[in-house]
Amino acid sequence: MSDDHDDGELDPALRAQGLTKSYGIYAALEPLDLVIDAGELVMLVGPNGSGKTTMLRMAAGLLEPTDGTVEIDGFPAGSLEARAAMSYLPDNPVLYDDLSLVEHLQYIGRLHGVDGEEVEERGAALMERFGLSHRADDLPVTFSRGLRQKTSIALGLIRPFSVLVVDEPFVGLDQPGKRALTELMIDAHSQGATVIVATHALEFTEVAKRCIGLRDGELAYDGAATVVDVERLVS
Amino acid sequence: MALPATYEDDVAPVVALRDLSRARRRNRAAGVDVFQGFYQAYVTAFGCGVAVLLSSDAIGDVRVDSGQLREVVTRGPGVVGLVIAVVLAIGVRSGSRGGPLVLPAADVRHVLLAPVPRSNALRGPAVHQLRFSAFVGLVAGAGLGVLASHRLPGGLPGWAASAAGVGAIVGAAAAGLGLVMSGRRMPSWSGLPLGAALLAWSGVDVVTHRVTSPMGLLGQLALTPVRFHPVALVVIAITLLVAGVGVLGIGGMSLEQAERRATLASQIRFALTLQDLRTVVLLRRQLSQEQSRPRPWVRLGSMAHGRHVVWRRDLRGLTRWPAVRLARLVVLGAVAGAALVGTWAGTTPLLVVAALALFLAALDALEPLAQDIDHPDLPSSTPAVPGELRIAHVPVPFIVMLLVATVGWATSVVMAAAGLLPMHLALTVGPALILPAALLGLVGGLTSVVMEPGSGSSGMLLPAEIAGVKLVVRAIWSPALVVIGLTPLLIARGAFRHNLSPGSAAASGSVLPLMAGIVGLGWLRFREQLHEYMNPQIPAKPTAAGEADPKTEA
Repeated sequence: MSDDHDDGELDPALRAQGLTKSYGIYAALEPLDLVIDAGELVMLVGPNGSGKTTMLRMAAGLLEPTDGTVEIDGFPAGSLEARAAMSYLPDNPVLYDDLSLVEHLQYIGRLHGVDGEEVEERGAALMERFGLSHRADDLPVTFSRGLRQKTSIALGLIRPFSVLVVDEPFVGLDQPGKRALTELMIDAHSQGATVIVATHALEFTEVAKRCIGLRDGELAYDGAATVVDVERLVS
Repeated sequence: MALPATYEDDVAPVVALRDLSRARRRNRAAGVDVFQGFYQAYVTAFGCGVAVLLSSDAIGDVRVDSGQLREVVTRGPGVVGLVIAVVLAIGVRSGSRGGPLVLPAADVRHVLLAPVPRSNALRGPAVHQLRFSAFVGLVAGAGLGVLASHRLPGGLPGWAASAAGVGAIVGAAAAGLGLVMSGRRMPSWSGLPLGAALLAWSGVDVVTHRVTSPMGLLGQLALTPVRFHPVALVVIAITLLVAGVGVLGIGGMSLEQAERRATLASQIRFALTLQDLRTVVLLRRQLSQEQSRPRPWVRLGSMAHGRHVVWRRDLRGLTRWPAVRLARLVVLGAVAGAALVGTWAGTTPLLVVAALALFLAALDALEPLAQDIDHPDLPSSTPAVPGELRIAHVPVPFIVMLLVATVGWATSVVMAAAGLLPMHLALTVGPALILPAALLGLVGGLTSVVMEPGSGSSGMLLPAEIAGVKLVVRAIWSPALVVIGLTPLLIARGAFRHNLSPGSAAASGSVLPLMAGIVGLGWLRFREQLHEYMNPQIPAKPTAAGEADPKTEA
């Protein structure tokens, strides 16, 4: 669902050009060139420290590139338009201690222009899907790691988006939670959204069409998502 | 899934943010126990009352004579301006690292990643930060004004009002400069030269006895009770301008810095509630991105052979200190020296400032021992006696503290050369102070590093007044030891006022502090044995760093 805001051509969902991140003498991401087209469902794999999270956080605008650029739907990462287009689900849930689950959903929805009955309906549906309905009025300080993760995922999905970026989504989730999240990502993809998922879960190869592998901050693989290739990349 | 939306106007996000604040306030209020709140207020008021009673007697200073007053009028604005420049430089440096704003981590994640204009989202917190900084400055200024009124003509109300006003301006200006820096995403390296430029400009004012900098103008404003300079009021407009630019431009701040600060600041607050000073030191280093050098300043030989491996390990740590830590120790030494000169001149409470500076320097100097305490598994896996291992960590930090104290002495010599102190006093009293100041500074730091942070449950059975006093004593115990190391100065000052030799008095007055320091080192060496002796019914099971295992005690 990308824009063609400049020259009539369809912009890719994500375009990285010479994207680099260094911390002092340590290079977390070597210059990376990458294009992910609109509507793709991509699996991002690589061993620990390979640069997956660094790349995704730069795409979300949470990290500043040392060099190079990254665009979302043709807009610079972190710009107002890119923030409207991309929903980023990080691996560590961060929630307000003094807002209940339902207040979180209402608030995040409204920040993204969803309000009134729409936000209530969507919120109720997401809570139902993740088995959170009975905790709607509870504060997250009473939640387990898994419940916090589910809440964080619901917050990422209640808002409109055209690019969904998910970092290690299955960590801490129970089986029903994993199933619900996978179904929701497939739903989003079937409705035209681009979905990029960083994960070590081999079963996701059944869903993903394309696999991008990183190793030591460099692009190591870009092709079909097969169990053999993913196993090789994460080992 | 719906198409992403962006706001055509700024109204919707502002309303959403306002509603969020309202909901959070409501939820917080629902969780507050009114009676507990009143009880906490009572305990706080009790503590403050005790502090006021104790401190009001402690400040018994002599009034300046006419010659000294002339000096204050001539040099005061420059010197006060230099102190203000230090505060502003801290603000600039904080801004170059994304400060002074510390947002909740959830705000960074949810609000700043939403399609909401960041200037809208950040304006409120920026104004709040300015207000808070101005308030802190106001309180600190009022306190300094009270001190000034003890020695200078002008009356308590005049001094308290002028110093509080200047304090508020300085607080707002420091926060405003920080906001300007972070809003413009100035690179982190730029904080140091810009801060140094402010200090240098103020230094010029001090040396030339003329006011050319805004900091000097603030110095003139602060000294209004002795002489009013109408032109100095222009700094109020400058401050408002800086604060305004900072608030309006804050939307450009870096999310990377904001997220890092959000995470670390919440951890620092938690550590502070536990009085865990060591954790605060470590987190503050992370916050200011202070890391050991990958390449040491000096390459030392291999540690594989030879004796005294602990000393040599400590030396290695020293050779990897970042420049900023070295600079901090020099500054702390200079602050201690300048504060002691002020103490000599009659402002006795400055002794506490000197002690705090030496205490902070000791916390840096004791880094290798602190790391052993942080990671008790490492030393406990060696066949060494814990007390001996701890003592082996002392020599290198002690040398560092001797150097810091020497910097303090050198500062007093420079101040004497500038005419702020008779040179013969700097040359006789100063050297006598180096050894006790270094030793007790070290021992104060040692007790803070080695003692565990207080557990919240330890005072549960005590009345709040007693538990509160215990908490305060625990907090001030370590810096108080450093104050003991500086008492020879007071003895020398007393001797000087009675026409006795101040140098000899300082030397003989050093004996007791030195003995106290040696007792402190003995405690470090035989801590477990002492615990066992004093609590024979509790088996003290030493862990790695010699701590009695709290689980065993329980």
